[in-house]
Amino acid sequence: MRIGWRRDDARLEADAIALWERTGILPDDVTPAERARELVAGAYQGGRLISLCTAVVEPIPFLRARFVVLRSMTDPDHRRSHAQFALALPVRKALQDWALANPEEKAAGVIGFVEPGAWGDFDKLPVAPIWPLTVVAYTHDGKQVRACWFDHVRLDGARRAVAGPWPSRPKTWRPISNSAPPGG
Amino acid sequence: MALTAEDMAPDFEFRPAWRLNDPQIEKDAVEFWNRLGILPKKVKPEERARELTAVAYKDGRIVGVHTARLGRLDQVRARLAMLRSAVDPDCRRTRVSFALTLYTRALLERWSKEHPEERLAGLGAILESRELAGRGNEPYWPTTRFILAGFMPDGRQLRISWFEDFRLD
Repeated sequence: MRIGWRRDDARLEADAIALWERTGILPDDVTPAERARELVAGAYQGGRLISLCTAVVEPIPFLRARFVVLRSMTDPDHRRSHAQFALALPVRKALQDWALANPEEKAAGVIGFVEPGAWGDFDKLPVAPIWPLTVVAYTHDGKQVRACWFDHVRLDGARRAVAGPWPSRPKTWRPISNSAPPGG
Repeated sequence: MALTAEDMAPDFEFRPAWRLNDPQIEKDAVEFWNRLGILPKKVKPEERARELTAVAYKDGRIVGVHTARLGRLDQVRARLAMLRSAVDPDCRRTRVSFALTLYTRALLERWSKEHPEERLAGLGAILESRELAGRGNEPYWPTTRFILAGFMPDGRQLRISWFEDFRLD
């Protein structure tokens, strides 16, 4: 296990680039070197990187806060290794510690977009085990939006979450349906 | 061991009302709403009484009321019980509202388990900022498992609390 978030970990970056190139998983418009700068952590088995997480910090308008937007991937040959579960707790702690130490980043929590079926039976759990990533919405194309607020975060004036100015179009966020709840 | 409503507010008596059609509780709740004058004019107390989930009594009269309406929240593609809460102003600092939330959550979670055909996934609440003094600035409440899941256009918070045994479609 190696935590690489904002650490410029050369070995982890090299291993991640090798994994991406071997699996051909990155979109055409993303260079491995760029994505490597977003590395959060990697899980190793027998000295070989088999699973990793990357992230960017972006505003999430419907939560009125900036979140660490998490991506993860596992080597297809190790899909059933539970490597992502092994990463969960150390990643959560690393990101929360970083957010606490860097209040100017105004990161209020972690958010992830889960493709239908990507977690197997676990995607039926509204609150994920190990790390309480909780379903708070769905994207238009059916991905679960799972969020977890950092423990230390407090809302500003009980209405607006701690947040920086929002750009008009966040890079990874897609708008979701946000209709009025029943009884509202 | 999980914290209970009685632990949290031992001076009050909590009674279930959900789908019980208990005429005494309904009558006492109507008297409570009329005494406080808090229901919107378009809402008939007798109709609202049919949505009662739980009530808190003190000295023989109701001082706190929870009601719920079941409905689908499209944002999470699930059927939730949307809670409303009212507490006698004289009891505002007694934690009775929080205790009622614990009580209602346990009650409806049990009911959901006993009625799987209802597909009730959890609780929802839309919170006025004046209800939030203190705890409202915490985006997650571990005791009741309410997570801040969004905001209404007027700035009110939308919170949801999933039942532990519920499984998504």
